[in-house]
Amino acid sequence: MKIIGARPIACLLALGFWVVVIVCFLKMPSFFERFQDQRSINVLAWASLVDSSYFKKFEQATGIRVYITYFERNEELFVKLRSSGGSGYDLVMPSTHTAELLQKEGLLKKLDKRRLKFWDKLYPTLLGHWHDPNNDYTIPYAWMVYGLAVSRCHLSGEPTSSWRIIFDKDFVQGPVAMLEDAREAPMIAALYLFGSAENLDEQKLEQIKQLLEQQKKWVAVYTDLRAAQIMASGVASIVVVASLDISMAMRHNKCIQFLVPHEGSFMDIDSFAMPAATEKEEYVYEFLNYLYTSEILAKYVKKFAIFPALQDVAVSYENFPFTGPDRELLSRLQFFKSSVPASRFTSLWVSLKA
Amino acid sequence: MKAQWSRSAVMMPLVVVCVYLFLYTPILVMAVFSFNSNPLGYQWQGFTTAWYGELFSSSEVWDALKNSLVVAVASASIAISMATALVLSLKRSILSRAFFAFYANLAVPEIVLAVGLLGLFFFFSISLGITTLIAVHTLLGLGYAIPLIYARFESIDRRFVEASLDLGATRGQTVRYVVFPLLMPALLASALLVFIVSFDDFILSFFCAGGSTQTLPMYIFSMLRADVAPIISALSVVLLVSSSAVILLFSSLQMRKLGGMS
Amino acid sequence: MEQLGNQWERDFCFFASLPALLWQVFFLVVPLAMTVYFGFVSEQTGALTFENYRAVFDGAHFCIIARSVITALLTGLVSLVVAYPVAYFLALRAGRWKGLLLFLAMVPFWTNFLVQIYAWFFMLERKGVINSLLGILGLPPLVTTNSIGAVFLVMVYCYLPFMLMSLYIALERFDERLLEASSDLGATPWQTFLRVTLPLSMPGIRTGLLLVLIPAFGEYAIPALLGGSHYMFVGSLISYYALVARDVGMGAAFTGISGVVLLGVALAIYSFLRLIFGKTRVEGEE
Repeated sequence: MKIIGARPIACLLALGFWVVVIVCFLKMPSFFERFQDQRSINVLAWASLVDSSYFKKFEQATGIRVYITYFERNEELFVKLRSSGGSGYDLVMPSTHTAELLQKEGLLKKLDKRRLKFWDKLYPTLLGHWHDPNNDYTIPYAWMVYGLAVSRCHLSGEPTSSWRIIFDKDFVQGPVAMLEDAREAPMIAALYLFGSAENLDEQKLEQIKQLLEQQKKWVAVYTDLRAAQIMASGVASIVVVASLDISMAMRHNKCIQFLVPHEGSFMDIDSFAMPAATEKEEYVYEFLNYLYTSEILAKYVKKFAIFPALQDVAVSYENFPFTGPDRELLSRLQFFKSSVPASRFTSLWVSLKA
Repeated sequence: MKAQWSRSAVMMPLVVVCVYLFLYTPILVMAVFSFNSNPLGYQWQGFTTAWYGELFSSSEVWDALKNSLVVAVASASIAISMATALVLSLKRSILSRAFFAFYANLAVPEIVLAVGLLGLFFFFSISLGITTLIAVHTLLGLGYAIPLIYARFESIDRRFVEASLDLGATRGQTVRYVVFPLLMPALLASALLVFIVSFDDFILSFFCAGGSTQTLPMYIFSMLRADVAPIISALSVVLLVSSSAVILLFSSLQMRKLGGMS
Repeated sequence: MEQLGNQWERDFCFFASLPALLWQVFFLVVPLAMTVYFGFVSEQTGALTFENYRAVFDGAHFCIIARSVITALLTGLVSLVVAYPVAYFLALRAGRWKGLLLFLAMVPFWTNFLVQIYAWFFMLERKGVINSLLGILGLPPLVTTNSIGAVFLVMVYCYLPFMLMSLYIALERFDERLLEASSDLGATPWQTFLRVTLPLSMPGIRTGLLLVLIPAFGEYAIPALLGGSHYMFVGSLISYYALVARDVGMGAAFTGISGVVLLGVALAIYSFLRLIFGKTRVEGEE
């Protein structure tokens, strides 16, 4: 029996069949996630801050498996969380900037600080900052200072602790390495030029761009990640870097000294936060209580040379001009927070690199 | 005229030798330095095979290798199946004009494709991982496989098909027993090609694999981006040796096929 | 296959041909269409607008595109000039060395791209092979990592095998008797080359140039690893917009413009070659 509409319907069915097959294929992993070990948590963290080898005791004691995925860039964290609506991970590690963005999008869950036994053992100076004034969503994990790593063995004399040595051609002693970040580099330049990185108007931004352009002549490379290698291979003897990215190398390379310029500098805090869609809060709290003990964090300090947010953890600040996140230090530091829209920084950066 | 010829007879081999030197010196230097006991600099310190040991015990490398292999095999299989199905199914007239379109898979710069696909996956909330990798590599694979298979298909003598049908075989039987075997060399060649392209691919993988899945090229890149570790030298040498071995195997098979003609 | 057979077979054929077509549409056409579309959508309001394109039409962006175009063209040209003699030798003069030389040429071709880049780290670093040698000769380091020179050098290195293969395949089909005939007719070797060899190898040159130009234009890994990030290339900027700045509109607009420029350059080269060397067709070829 021939129905007039049979052929088009058959075509559509055929098409639909294949579309369903393709969609199933693509959505397969998220489907399998549901069948994953229920007694477990998924953590998304910086590769240089967390290591799964120290969780064995926790897993044995509680029976909760900890699956860690690493990421290299804050934007990556943001993309992953946003594209899956906050699901897929039970614990993430954003920096202040990303934490604020995530929180604005409603992707983070409120914390119940009563369930965190270590709360009062955290450095009070690391709490209550701009991205989360009441720490409703984030728990500081590690803090870092931005400054100048200098290789004393390759420089003559004592380098002054000032941003001048990378910006002022009369004080520059050789090739330097600059930060590769559209927001951080201009803000450092602003701090040097105007004494403050706030209230940057068009005129100031133009001056910043000029300074950065002038600086290009003695910048050997723009990078965030390769500080240690750059210094070791002699590409540059002064590197603008966050303490986190150089502290480990400083243990082996005693030539490196970290300077915090007297004009002031910047800092950041990597925190833990819970995505809004997680249903494993209980396990997450248990995990955090396990992690935030001096015993466990000491292992991380030993392995990664981080500066933890928990007090009473043995940390060595050798060759660093400070001994901890005390008020005096923090009074000289600010965050990379700016009212300038991201797109303006982007266009500045693009025209700098054109 | 004789003098001119003999000048070129000396110049040309010289140029060839120089070019080959240019091509091989970096690789050989790297191979030598993979035994360098100095982890940081590029200066020779002493002989060691420690990096190879580290390579074989690194779980990250094995994971990356596993991912690369899984994705390459899957993409090759899917691409070949789809390509064969397409070539055998489409009307001749349509196919001869349509197959051109698949060149676009290769003509579009990979980064444009990669970013577009990232946007696509983001838009439809498809989480990035092995499946998206396979999907994307299959797309590349189609671009290689379809022209190859089509070319081979076109070159099959029509009379074989006609003869088969005349002798009473159904179309299905003809395809199975006549066309398919004749197509086989192209299928194998395309499968190998797609496998290699997928295994080596970097840009598409970098954008479409997400953070949790890493292929071997991605692993190498992220290591190079951060602090270079000599484990990469060891890995590079291993990759080099294996690809050379595969080529050697392949070309010796070819040689045998051609009856020793070189 | 041919349009014989019954309805069921025809339906099955339709059914079987769908996956590839759907794949193409879903994974190629749709993303490209989305890229074009998002170029016209404002980041803030979501309305259709030209503002992204207007922002991209400025000196900085075109500078970056120009840099990529010039680098790609130079890479193509240099690799052509370097590869041609080698391909010629391999195809026509190698004799008993052919098998070995061919194998040796294939190895870099099949070597992983990133491995090829990494190999140059050893050569180009401040204290690497090349600069150490220059140091011994008393010369300053001429090419180091983190420079455009390094990017260009390694691009030529990575794309040379592609050009070599294209040229070799084209020259392999060459009929040597044409060369003999040409010299018999009184042409000098140089004239033979210009009038006979070069035009007939034109398909290989075209393929080779396109095989090099298009990927080199959008190259991401080489500038990222060896460029030092002083200057952006098209690949770096597209990636920057997509992954770091996360500005979909600008990224899409920039991608669109770069695509158009690339197409224009490719067409220009194609037409230029056609113009200079004409439509050469030999009886029985192609």
